[in-house]
Amino acid sequence: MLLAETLHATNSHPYVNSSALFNTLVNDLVLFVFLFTNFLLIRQGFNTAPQQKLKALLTQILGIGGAGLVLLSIAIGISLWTVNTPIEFQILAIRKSIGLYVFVIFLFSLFYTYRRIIFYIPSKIKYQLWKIFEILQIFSILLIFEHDTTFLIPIYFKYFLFIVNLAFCIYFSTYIRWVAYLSIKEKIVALLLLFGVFVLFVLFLIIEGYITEDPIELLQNLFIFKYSLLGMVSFFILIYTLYAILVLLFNLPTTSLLENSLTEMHSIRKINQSIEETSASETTIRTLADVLLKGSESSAVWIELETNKEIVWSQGIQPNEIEQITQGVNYRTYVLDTKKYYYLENLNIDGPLSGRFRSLLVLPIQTNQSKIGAAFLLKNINSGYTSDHLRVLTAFADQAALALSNMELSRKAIVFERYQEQLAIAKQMQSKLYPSSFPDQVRLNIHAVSHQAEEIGGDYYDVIESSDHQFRILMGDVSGKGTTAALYMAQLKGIFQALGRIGMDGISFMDMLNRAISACLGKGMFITAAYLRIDIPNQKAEHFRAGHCPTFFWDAKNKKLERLEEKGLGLGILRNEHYREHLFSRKLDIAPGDRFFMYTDGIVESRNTEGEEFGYERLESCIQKNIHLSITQLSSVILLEVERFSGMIHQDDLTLMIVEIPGNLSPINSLYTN
Amino acid sequence: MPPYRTEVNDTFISIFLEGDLDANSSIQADEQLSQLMKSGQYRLHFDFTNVEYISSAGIGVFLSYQDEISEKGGKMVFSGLRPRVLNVFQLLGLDQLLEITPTSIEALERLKV
Repeated sequence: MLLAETLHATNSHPYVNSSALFNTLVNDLVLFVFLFTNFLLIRQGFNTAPQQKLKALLTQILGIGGAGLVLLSIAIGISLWTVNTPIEFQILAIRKSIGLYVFVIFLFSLFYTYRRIIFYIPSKIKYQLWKIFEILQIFSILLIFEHDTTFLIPIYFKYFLFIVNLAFCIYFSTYIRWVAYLSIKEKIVALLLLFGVFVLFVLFLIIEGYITEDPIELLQNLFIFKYSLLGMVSFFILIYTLYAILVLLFNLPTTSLLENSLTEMHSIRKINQSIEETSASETTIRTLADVLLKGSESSAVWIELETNKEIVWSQGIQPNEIEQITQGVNYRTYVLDTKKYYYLENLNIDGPLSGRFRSLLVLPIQTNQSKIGAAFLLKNINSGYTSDHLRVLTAFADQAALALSNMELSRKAIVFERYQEQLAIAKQMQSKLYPSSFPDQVRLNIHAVSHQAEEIGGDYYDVIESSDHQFRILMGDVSGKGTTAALYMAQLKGIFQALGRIGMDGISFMDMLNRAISACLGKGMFITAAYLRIDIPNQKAEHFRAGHCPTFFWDAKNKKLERLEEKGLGLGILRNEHYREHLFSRKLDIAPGDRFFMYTDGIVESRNTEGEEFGYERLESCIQKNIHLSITQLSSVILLEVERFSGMIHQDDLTLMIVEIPGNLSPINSLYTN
Repeated sequence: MPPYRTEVNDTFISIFLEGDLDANSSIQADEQLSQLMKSGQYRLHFDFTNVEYISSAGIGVFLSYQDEISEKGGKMVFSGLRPRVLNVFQLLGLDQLLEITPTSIEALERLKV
C-alpha cells in the first residue's frame, strides 16, 4: 500500500509535468489503484468495526481528520522550508501526495461513518440502494482518466454520473431520523462534532487548493471532473453534513418536549416498578414525591393520606411550615371531593416563607373507587405550573393512586385468604358437631344430609338415644346464615346434648330448651326447630314444631303422607315462662315402615331462575312418588330434585333427615329388655 | 329498610314498608326502628301491603324490639300481610304472639286508645 502510494506520489501528480501520454496513463492507473484499494480497505475496516455510537464515530473522524491535518501541516512546513532548494520538486510532490493520502483517508472514513449513521435504522431497500451507490462511487474512479485532451469519457456520461450521484446524495440525506433519538445534550454534541467535521473538510479543501475564486471552477474542481471519486464522495459528505447540521439546529428547540415526554414515561415506569419491587406503599409514596418534585422542578413536596389523615412524606419543607401554608384549610378533602387539582397561582403568605413558596399545587391521589390522599407541590415563583406540568403531574398522581390501590387490594386479598383458612377450620370444626353416627339401624333407621350455603351455617340436627329407650331427634335452623348462625348452632348442640339426656316430658323439654337457648341468643335472633321423640317399645311418637317447617309423616300402613303442622313458636322468640303456652304437641302411633321427613327451609324455599319456590307440594309429591325407595336413596332423589329445580345452587343452608321405624319391633323390644 | 314512608298520627306512627325484607335490608330496617325507639315512639303500625318477602333476619328485627315495646306499654300491629309473608309469620308461631290484622283500618282501630 505504502509503496504504491509513494510510487504514485512521485509519478502521478499533475504538478509533475510529464508530457508523455504514456506517463499520464501510468500515473492515472496508479492513482486509480490507490483510490480503489483505499476505498475498499476503509470500507472493509468500517463495516467490520464494532457498532459505535454517533458521538464516538464522529470523534473518531475528527481524530483521523485532525491527525491528517497535523501531518499535512508538517509536510507543508517542510515543503515551504525547502522551497528554494534543488530538491524542491521532489519535496513538493511528497507533500502533495501526503496531502492527498490523508484527505482520502479522511473522506472515505467519513463516508463510511455517515453510512453507519444512515443505517442507524436499517432497512432492506436502503441496503440495496447503498450498494448501487457504492458501485457508482467506484465506477466514478474511471473519471481519473479524464484530462484536458480526453478522448475516453464523453461529457454527457460525466453529467449523467453527477446527476445520479446527486439523486443518491439527496435520497440518503433524508435518512436523518437518528436525530430524534438524541437528547438535547447529545444533539448539541453532535452539532459541534458535525461542525468540526465540516470545518476540517473545508480546511482540507483550502489547503489542498481545491477552493478557487471562480464558483464554477470551484464546483468543477470539487465535485464533477477533477477528482472523480473524491469529488463524488465529497459532494455526498458536504450535502449530508450541511443537512444534518440544519436538521439538528431546527430540532434543538423541540427536543425538550420530546425529552419531557420520555422523562414522563420513565417516571411512570419508575412508579410501576416501585410496586413490583416492594409491596410497601411507603416506597411508592416516596417515588411519587420524587417524580413529582423532579417532573415539575418544584421546591417542596408533601403527601397526605386519607387513611391516617396526616403528612406521610415531605421534602424541602418542615411540618410547621406546612401549617403556615395551609393555614388550616383542608385541601386534601377538597381535591378528593372535586376530583380535580387545586392550583393557587399566587400564594399569599407572610413571613420568611413568602420568598420560598409562591405557588401551590394540590393533586388528588385517587382512583375511581377509592380516595387515597393528596400531593402538595410548592414552587418559588408565581404561576409556577404550566398546563403541561398539570397534565403530567396529574398523570403521575393517577398512576401512583392506581399502584397504591392495587397494593391495598392485594393486602385485602391476603387478609381475605387468611379468613378463608379460618373458615375452612371452622367448617371442619362444625362438621364434627353433627352426629358422626346414628343409633344402630336395627333400632332406628336414620339418614341425614346437610349442605351449607356458606362455609359454615346454622342448620343443626342431632339424635340422642336416652336411657329410657327413647330417641330424641332435633332438627334446628338458626335465623340468619354464616358465622353467627354457626356459633349459635354450636350452643344449641351443647344444650340439646345436656337436656336430651335427662328424662322429662316433651313440653318440659321444649320449655327448658327455649329458656336455655334464649339465654344465649342475641337480640332478634331465634331458632326454629322440630323435635321428635320416638318411643319404640311403646310404639308412640311425640312431635313439636317450634316455628319450624312442618315435618312430613309417612303412615306406612295407610299409605298416607301427613304434614305435622301443630302450632308452635320458634325458640328464643318468647324468652320467658309463657313460651310453653304457645307450644302444642302432636302425639302419634307408629308402626314399622313409618317415616318422618324433617328438613330445613332451604329445601322448600329453594328458588328457580323465575323466583318460584320449590314449596311443600313439590316435596310432598316427590316423597310420595319415591316412597318405595330406601331412605338413603329417597334422600338423594329429593336433593337431586331440589338441585334440578333451583339450578344446582343452594342459596340457603339445606338439611334433610329421614327417620324410619325399623321393620320388626319385637326383636328391639327384646333387645331393650335384655 | 327498603324505601318506606311514615304517617304520624296522634297516638301512633304508621310505617308503610316496601320491597323485600331480607338479610341486607333488615340491617337498615333495624337502624331505622331503633331510631324510632329512641325518639320515644312505641305505638307502631307496620303496613306490609307492599312487602313481597321476609326472611328470618327480617322477622328478627321486629322481634328484637318486642320486649322493649311491651315494657314501655307500647304496641306493634302488623297489617296487610300477603299470603307468603303471613305464612312465614304463622310458621314461626308469631300469629299467636303478634297482633296481625288483615287491613290497615283494623290495625288503626287497635292502636286507638
